[in-house]
Amino acid sequence: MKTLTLLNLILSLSIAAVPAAYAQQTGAQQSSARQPGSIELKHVAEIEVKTTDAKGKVTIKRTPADKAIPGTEVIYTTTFKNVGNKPAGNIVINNLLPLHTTLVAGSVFGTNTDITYSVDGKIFATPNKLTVKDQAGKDIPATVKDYTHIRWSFKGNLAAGKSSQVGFRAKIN
Amino acid sequence: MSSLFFLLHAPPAQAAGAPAGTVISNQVTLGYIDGGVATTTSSNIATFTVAEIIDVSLAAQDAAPVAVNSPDTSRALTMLLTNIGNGSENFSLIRNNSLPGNQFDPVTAAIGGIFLESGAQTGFQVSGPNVDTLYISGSNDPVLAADASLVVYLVSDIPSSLALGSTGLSSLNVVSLTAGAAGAAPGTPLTGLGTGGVDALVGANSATASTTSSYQVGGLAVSVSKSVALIQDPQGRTGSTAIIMPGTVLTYSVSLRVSGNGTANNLAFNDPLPAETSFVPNSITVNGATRTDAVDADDTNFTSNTINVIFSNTAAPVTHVITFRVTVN
Repeated sequence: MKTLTLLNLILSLSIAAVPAAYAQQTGAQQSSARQPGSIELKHVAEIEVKTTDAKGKVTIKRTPADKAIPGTEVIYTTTFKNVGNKPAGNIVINNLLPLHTTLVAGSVFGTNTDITYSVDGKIFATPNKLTVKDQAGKDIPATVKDYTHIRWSFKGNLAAGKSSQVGFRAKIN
Repeated sequence: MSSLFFLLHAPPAQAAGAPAGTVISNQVTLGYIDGGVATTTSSNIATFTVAEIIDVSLAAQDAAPVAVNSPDTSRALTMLLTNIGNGSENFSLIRNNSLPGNQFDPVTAAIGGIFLESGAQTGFQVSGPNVDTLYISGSNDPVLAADASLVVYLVSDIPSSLALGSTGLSSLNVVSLTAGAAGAAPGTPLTGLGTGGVDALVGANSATASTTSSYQVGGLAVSVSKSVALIQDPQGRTGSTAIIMPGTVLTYSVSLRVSGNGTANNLAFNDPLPAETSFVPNSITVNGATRTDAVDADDTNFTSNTINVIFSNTAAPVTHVITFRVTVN
């Protein structure tokens, strides 16, 4: 149940972060990729900065990741928007996980998506079906440390003018 | 001790995390069907730089107080300095001899108080081809890569006339030479002061470390001295008037001294006799008491032309005196 609560929290956070992400249209990290087609992609890396005011109230604010030390959790959020005038279907998002980081277990989010993982970039499956080989060459269940890719498959069509988000957290090694 | 050697030469590992200055990039690709056409698009690349954590640790390497004599010179305490941050860092070393809770203050050695392991030979080398390097503050402050370690020796002279068992403490303090790092609160940001100009952050140990080690006067020492106590030649002359010739009987006296503190385990004395002499049977005494030559219940035997006395575990301090006689052939 704890995992569910955490997931819900992240989802609500990410929704809350949508306007902020749209507001920051400047800078290399926030700039939209100018690609042909009717889906616009935006990919941001953020960190959480904790501040305590004079009354001892702690507020957590997300800021774009510019510099971060090992151990920091970085939140990657991909926003995809259908800027065309027709619905877009069969949307599949692939992310090759960044080097020097480890995926945070339970942190992967994506509304209305089927989420699968890979340990080699070839075979994508749900966590319970993923295996890696141990030192003896025997198949053992894969863990988040083994994941190299995440794939989100959007269910149904994304209507014209609509946007959605997927993402995850990764801890800097 | 080989582990120290390994640490000194260990390649940069990931223990301290991603190296400072590493650029971490991430990009997504998105495929979809647009009006019946399969299309692929890529996002911008989200990047950020790994900042430097500045931190250091210091660990005493001597498992027990270092046994010294009084007086003594150039005795080393061994410490291991490790850069536990994720970037290259420059460190300064300071020693302190005036510490509470001891019976004497070690004196910074005349040859110099701090030496850096040269890497040529494990353990402090005061001279020779593998001599270790004298540390001079501001001149050869060690620079350590992330995760790298360096063995540091505190080298001391020990005052004279100290009581057996006296303890003397010395400490080593190491600080990062990055401005504003040492002693700052963990998490203090140091903009642009990290490796290669990245931002730095002060680590959990406040970019400084200190450790203390001790000397103890009078560890365990075993010494042997052998002398001719009595000479008697065949004509009955003794002492300085006696003449060494075939038939002269020499009485040897061996003093076996265990000094300091502790126990000498399995202490045994073996003295093979030279071919020019013949053992006088049943002439061995230990602490004034006669012994038999056979291997039997007493602690002594004469086997293969060798005198053997077995003391087993012997607590210090004690002195055993062994005598025996030989005839010159």
